[in-house]
Amino acid sequence: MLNFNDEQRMIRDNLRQLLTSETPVSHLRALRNARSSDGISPALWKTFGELGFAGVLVPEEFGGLGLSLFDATIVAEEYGHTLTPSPFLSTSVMATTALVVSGNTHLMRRFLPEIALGRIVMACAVDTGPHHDPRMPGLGFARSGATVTANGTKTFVVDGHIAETVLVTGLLDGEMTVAAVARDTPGVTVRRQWMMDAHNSAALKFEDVQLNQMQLLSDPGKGRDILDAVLAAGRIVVAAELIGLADEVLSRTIAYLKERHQFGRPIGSFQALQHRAALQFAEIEQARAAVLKAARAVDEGAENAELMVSVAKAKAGEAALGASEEAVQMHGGMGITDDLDIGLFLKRARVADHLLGNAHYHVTRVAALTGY
Amino acid sequence: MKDDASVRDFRAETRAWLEQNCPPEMRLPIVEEERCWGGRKWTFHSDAQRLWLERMADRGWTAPTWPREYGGGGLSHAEAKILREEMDALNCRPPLERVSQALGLLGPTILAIGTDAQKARFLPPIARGETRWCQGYSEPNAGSDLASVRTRARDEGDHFVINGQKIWTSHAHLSDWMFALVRTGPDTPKHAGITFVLLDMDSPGVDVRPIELISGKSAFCETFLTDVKVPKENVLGEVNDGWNVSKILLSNERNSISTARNFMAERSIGLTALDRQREGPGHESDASLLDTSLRERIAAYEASAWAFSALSERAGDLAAAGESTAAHASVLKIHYARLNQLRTSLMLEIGGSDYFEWDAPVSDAARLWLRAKANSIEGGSTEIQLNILSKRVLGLPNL
Repeated sequence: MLNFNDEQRMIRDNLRQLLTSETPVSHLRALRNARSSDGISPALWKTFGELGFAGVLVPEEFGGLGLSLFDATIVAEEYGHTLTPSPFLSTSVMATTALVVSGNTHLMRRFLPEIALGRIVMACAVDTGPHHDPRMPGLGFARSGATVTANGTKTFVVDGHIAETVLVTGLLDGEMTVAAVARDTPGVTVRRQWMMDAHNSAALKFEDVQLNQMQLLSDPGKGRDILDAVLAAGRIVVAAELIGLADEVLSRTIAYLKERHQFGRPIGSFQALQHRAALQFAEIEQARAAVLKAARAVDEGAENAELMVSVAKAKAGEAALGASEEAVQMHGGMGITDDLDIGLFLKRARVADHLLGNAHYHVTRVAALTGY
Repeated sequence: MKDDASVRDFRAETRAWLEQNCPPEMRLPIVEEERCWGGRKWTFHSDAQRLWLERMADRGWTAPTWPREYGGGGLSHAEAKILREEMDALNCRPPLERVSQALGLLGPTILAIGTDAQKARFLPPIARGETRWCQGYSEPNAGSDLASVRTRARDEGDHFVINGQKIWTSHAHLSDWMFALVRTGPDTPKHAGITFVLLDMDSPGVDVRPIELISGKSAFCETFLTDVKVPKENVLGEVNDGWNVSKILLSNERNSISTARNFMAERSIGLTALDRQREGPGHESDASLLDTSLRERIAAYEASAWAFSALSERAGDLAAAGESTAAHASVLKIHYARLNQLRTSLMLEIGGSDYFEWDAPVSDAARLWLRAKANSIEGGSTEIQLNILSKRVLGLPNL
């Protein structure tokens, strides 16, 4: 079923109430203006832990709720509405998925209960260049006895500068491998990237970083499965955030169309604007269905799950960018001022579309996965 | 979500029954001309087609969710969804087109608001594919502005006498019955004087003329009505309340037009394009499309088509949970029209000049492309759908 049950509606309503009161869009603006060192609200992250949201995907035996990716999209859609920067994506979705899929009980015991409680932030370092290309990790692991040495660079690492531990992808003997590296390990340098959307990102350099075997999530053969699962979960959750963002920016635009008067009438009475707004609504509804379908497909292990993930990420990126670009235009001169929040939605839409592959990347992937 | 035990049983029984009862010919990919629309004027293409319709109709599975007493299968939404999934899995053709005027539109409306006598009289023959219906809505001066219909129904006590002209009555020449909007209250405000009537096409005074379209087909007709008698028991809903009846029916139309077509249940057109590329010398072993612009445009279409099938599924789930809104009907209709137009245009591009031949064509792609132009006009144009969304969903003010 691609609609919410009562319990899911309750989760959504509770979150909406929490986020609109604790971290409305003005919260992001304040973090940006203050050049906040965390870039997030540690208090809200703690609350996420207390209410169980941080551990949505953490299995119950490790103190989480053990819910589905479908449920995780509910959380992401809500913080998309408020543009709330949250370690939910990096920690509760991507790192959690990596650990669970790895089946590495040692690392699961160490990290999952802490994640569920909202006590730590973890990051996943996947990209090395400005364009998403996860098969080329830009980092190598070399084994010598019991020691593994890492060399390489990573970029666009969400929450990379506040993560206690970073899950890093790299090649070991030519095979995809994931390692858990504490951020303060000697040889790791972290440069925070101040992005236009004021959400957390960091560039990481690894120079002769010494690791031990226990820090590898799995044998090299399994690294690709871990990476695929992390990417699928991450892409769906970013897509869900984009749906929330798109929904909110359209609502704000509709409100403005009703309130702004020119030629003695509300500009929302002009059909030229009505039809454009209605078309955005139609695009968002279709993208929303694609995101829910992709989440279900991954949860159920459907054969075409990977395809649906790319469909969802592409459609959500297009819908959110389309809605926020139209929002700027329909707000006229006000839309390009920093006084209004509309610009913040546009910036986040652009960055989140790019995150884990933009619409172009995922459309091309649809062709590849279909076989042409 | 995992199937629970009863769902699993239903799925297994359904699959077993379909495997046993669906003739092999009815499991081949369907071609447009072999779709089954039924009716007294229908000629079956094969014995298999007739047999398949009979077997499914006996089970009520031509109208799976209708009550059994009216020829339906009495299935829940979830069961009907499983039936459809199993039919798709076994490539079973629909025994009777689900999007027909009768099965997709009028039937659900009669079920919702018809009298018991109307249900008993009209629904079972619809479910059995014995009567085909057409829609008498548009008139030469009442298209998007449908409420200005002028076809006049004069009250003669126990019956009406109808005079006027309908246009765009799809397949009127092949239909047994027409449901029509007629004006019963010439002096009342325009929405308030309309009545919804069920009219026997065999009645004296009904004259049907097919209209030739740009696609070369004549799917639409003009229907002239001269002193046609319609008994009052054939009014659906109340006299002068036809506008509201038509709204109920139109929301079914938008739903059924769109949910019927799962573009991605058909073969990927990207793979078709790759086949055509491989027909060229030196390209036999190509693994992907070399024209990267075409490849990206096809993939963008197919991504949207997948999203559309998710949207159809979600609209169905919301409807089953009673959360459906007018919004979804319009959103589906807008996307369906755009996607079908895009798909048929890409197919023509893939075929090139080979596909342009009008007589003895290699492919019907040209005609399908031209036919698709009607998708954004028929059943409420895209602009009307955008008006509905603007006003009823977004709450934007009138000029």
